[in-house]
Amino acid sequence: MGTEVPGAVWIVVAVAAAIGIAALVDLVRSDVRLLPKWAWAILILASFPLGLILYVALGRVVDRPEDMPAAEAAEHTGWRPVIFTPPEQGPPGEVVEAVIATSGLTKMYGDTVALADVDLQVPRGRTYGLIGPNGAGKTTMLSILAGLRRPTSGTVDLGVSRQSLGVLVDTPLFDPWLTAREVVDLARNLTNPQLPDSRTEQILTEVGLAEVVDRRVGGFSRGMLQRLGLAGCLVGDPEVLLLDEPSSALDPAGRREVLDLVGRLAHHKTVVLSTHILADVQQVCEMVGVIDRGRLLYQGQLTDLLARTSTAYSVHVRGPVNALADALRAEPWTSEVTEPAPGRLRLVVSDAGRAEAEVPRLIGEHRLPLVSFNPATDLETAFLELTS
Amino acid sequence: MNLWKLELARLTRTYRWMLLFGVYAFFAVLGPLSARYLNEIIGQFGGDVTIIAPDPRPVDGIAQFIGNVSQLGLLAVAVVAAGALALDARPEVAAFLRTKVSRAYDLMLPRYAVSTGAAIGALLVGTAIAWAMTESLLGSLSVGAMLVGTLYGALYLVFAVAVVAVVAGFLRSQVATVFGSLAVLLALPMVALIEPLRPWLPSELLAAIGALLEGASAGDFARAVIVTLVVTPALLALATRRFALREL
Repeated sequence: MGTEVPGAVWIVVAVAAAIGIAALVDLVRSDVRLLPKWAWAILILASFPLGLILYVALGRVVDRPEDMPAAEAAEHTGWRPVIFTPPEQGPPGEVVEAVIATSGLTKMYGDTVALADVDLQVPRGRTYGLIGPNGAGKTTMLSILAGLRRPTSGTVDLGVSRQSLGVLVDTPLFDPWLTAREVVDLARNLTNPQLPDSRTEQILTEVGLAEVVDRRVGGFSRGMLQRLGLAGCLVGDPEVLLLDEPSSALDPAGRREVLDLVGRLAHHKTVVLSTHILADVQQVCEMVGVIDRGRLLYQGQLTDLLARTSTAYSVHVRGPVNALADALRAEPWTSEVTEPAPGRLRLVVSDAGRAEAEVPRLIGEHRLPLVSFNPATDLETAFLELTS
Repeated sequence: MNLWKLELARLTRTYRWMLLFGVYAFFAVLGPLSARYLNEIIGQFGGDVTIIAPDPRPVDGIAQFIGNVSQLGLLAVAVVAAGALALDARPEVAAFLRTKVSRAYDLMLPRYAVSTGAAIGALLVGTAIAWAMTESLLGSLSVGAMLVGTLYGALYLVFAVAVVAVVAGFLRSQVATVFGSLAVLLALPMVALIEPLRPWLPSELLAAIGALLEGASAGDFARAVIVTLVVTPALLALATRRFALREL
């Protein structure tokens, strides 16, 4: 055997050194996770190649945002005309049946009750708003309906297969190295592969992502991810949509757009919309379920909920309202008088007829110019009365 | 895009295939070279100390390669497999897929198969390089022993990735899955200290190629092969069951 170390050995050593140096350069330039950069540097140098392997596999953030400037990314979250074009469908049935029904649904997390004996009934073809404060159990309810969690007790009856459910979680995320087109096409392929490939691009256009179809989603803003999640949810043409806070990450224009989309879907889909934004529910939902601390406090038509709520009125006059407010408080048919803004009063009354007769008279007695006198019962009032 | 293409994209776009193939190729080159020139390398740094070692044999080149990839190669396999099989590591991503398939098995199978295929591919490439290097530097090797030994090594990787799948079924995060899997896989050879159990352990297949080149027969590993073939589907069934039952 020879005594000289051949060049090949030094080549291997040189390659290893080059890889180590390249890793350190990459470390300086890249974002890292799990450990700080200095710790990764020590690990790479002290335990080559083990440290290098760990850095490449675990520490390096390969899915850095795409080179889309922040301003451009923000632009893509802005308003885009959404025109939802549903696939051809037959005429709607005459009989309204419950497409989702739960019975005695209870979910415990240790000793904490997340859902308590909930009997949810969602009629087919309706838009059902599930409202409640944060932590009320809305997400747990939708997760159980979607099959992502199991109830502690009780039953869930679905009138459709699980693959006919379109589910949008509240903070959708995707593998960052996929493009928007691939994400939606994967969803199409898994849920309804009979639909043509063109459906993918069509749905991406409809949610306002036409210009970014071939960008990797690692660089998407939260609003764009929410749109993408909605596209992935809709592409398979599901019969039932479970939408958890679908507009929470969107700007006002985007929120308006999503609500319009949900409103259009309501004509041919069953939609369960979970939100704590009551105005959204009031705009698009026919039915409402009010949930608080795991209990379903009300379920039925939105109009019925508003009708059974205390009658409230808003009064807008010009001039100081202190004397008028005192006079109204002295009346036996008022239970609450508040001044939300100068010149404005909000009354909660026990006798609507007397209020409508007496309030204009009292305003006249106080010689205050009347701007408006309107009923002011809204979902927020109803919600607060139910949950307080 | 489908679930198989998704896994291929995961392997290629995250550059994990380079990690896997790079580790195996690196040690495939380094193993035979270090076996051939170890004495000279030590001599260069040894000063006045004279080291007398037997002349390297062809089997030493492969043994060096296998010895290195038994640990660092296995680490690379665990990292790549955990990246795919820890499918609930990010619940929001998992929710997107889980709500679109009817069975956890549909998600598991492509992830397991692609990870295993990549690991076996890396082993084959590494072994081919190590074989060629050894032939040119140290001498010829038994073709039969090399082929059977490589087959056994591949079978061990089929088992190892199934272990990663099970660990991922119990631990959610990728990091925990990597270290949990390594703990299991590296602890298994310790069981071999109990001599009656040793022939039955799948870990015996990992370095079988060295023993085969030294003259062992393929039949000596029959019990380990049988255990591996029986245990691997059971591990996959357990992993699938764990994924199916786990809540997000």
